[in-house]
Amino acid sequence: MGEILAVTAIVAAGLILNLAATDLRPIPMALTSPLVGAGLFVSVGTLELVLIDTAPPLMTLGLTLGIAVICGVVIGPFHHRRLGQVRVAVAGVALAAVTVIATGLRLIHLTWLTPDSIRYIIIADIMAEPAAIARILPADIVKRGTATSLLHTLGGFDGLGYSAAIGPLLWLAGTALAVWLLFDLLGRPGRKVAVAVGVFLATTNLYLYDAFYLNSHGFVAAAFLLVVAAGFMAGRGDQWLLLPAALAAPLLVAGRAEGGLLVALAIMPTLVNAGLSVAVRLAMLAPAVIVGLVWYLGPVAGAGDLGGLSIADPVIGMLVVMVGLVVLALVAGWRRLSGVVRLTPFLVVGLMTLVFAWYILEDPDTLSGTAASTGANLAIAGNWGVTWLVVGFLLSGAVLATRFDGQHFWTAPIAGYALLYWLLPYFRFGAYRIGAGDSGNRILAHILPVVLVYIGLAAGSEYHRDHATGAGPADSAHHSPSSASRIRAV
Amino acid sequence: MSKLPDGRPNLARIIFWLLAVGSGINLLLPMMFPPSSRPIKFHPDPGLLTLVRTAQASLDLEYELYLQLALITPDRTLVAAEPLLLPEAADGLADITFEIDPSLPAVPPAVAQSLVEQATITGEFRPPNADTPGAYWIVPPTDDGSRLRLIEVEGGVVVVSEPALESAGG
Repeated sequence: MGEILAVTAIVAAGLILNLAATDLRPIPMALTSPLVGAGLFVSVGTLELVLIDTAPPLMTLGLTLGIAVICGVVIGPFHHRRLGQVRVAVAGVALAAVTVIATGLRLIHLTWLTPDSIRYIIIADIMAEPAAIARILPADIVKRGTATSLLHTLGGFDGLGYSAAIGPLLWLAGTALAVWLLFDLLGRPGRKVAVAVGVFLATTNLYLYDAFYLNSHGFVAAAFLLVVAAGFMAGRGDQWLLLPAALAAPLLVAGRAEGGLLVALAIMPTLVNAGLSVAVRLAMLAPAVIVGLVWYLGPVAGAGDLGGLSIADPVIGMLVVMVGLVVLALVAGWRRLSGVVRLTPFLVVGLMTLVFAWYILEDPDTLSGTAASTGANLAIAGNWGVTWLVVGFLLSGAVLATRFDGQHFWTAPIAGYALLYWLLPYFRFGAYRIGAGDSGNRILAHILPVVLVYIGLAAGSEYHRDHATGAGPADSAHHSPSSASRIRAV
Repeated sequence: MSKLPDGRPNLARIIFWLLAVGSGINLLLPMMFPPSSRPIKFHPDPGLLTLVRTAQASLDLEYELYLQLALITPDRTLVAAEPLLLPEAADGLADITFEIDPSLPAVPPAVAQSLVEQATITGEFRPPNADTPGAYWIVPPTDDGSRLRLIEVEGGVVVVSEPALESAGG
């Protein structure tokens, strides 16, 4: 019972923040709340670990709810719109639904664990007690982050080692967000595509598995999609997803060893958006940067010599990425640099390509090993079914044959993630391995929702709604050449 | 090919059908070709975590290689599966001692069966000797090429795999 209440409270914290500080419509408000609440919970827990060396779930949850309520009380009255009866009603329904789902997930044992999962459970157990950092293995501090274990401290309310509900809920939020984005942006003519994308995601064996697998993949995929989508929506004049995305971004930086790079890839197109003020850009970055720097400059830097793991790389890497993002946010408004700044996401992708080329020349064996494993995993061994065959075909078609305004919000992160996938073996311990359980195979799930939403948007781009007016082309008398939603077949 | 009134291809309809067909095949594939290996599915008892942490704390901290470990009670009931960071020299495994709490609850038979299936625990039994104080089994390599051994320590049996390098991506 305790875990169910705790998970509901996390979603409640997200709902309070979304209600008080955004004008999100009811559905996206409800769908992003689990990610907002979880992001805030992880941020609070990480700060607790660094500052007081422990993160008891009751304290973390209390602070999370407290921050949300205080923000609601402080921001709410100044907010230029009312709470809205429909939004409040939907928030109530969402909380009830979360309670029911969490109860079902606890009663029906669906969780899948691997030895990796048990490491996260052990770390969660340690985090809830005093003097935690010294008792977490140094290698775990460096490579596992805090998010997964912190979220599973919620199981401690019932004396259990982990939360059966939080992972599937965050996965569900991300998957539903993908469907809602297409529903909303494509309008009535594109709804079949939205449903097809949802069904396709849910029938993809390894992606569905991530809903119940105790690890970070489900919520990292969801948070990655939210951050990318928020930038795209802001580019179309709807900035209300930016706050949920900013609060969910710590799930990336604290969820994966490469989380800093994930944040950078997802957020860079937003940072160079000329329509956003410097204050908004910095606010968008702040939660992820604070959590990333606090954890990496604190416990990770103090983890000591790890033999095979180079301690300098994660700390310096995180520092460079986070400082680079802050600098980018600051200079993005300078007119003199506007040309370069606007191209930054693609310059970074170009730089990654050069680094990749250098690594290939230095160590072609790792590339060939990774290529062989990737081929085998995508074909059969990775339990992806025909997903990547279909997605690869559709993605190629979308990139080559369609154009729509704001597509760089999707293509830059996708291209960057593809390069990151091939670069990671060089940063770590060599080529990926064949098998569904290999981390190289599992991390493909992080990008799948983003790729599918992009494909859906590309396919139905003639249906895109104009967010400035709230109307889609179907609602207007004609399609103007300057419409944000034209397909250009080439 | 499906086309819009102005003659352009109706990409939305094409993609809808490709995704629909892909979903259908994705649903059928696991039924036709069940995955060869499945992860462990069980709910760990907090007592087991304490036990594993005790074992973990007794290890020397020369971390580089990951080893899998499972604890088995004297009646051969598996009670936990856990990866441990162990000393680089796997030869030192026999010197590690574990404190096993006799009050540990047994796991459901289905869980034990799942672990046994994953570990492929069959092979040649080696009795204790001067070099290896614990009895152990040499078992065939698993699907991913690693080897698993059983080492008997302090009344329990520890399943240990040969060291395997972690791949990228964590």
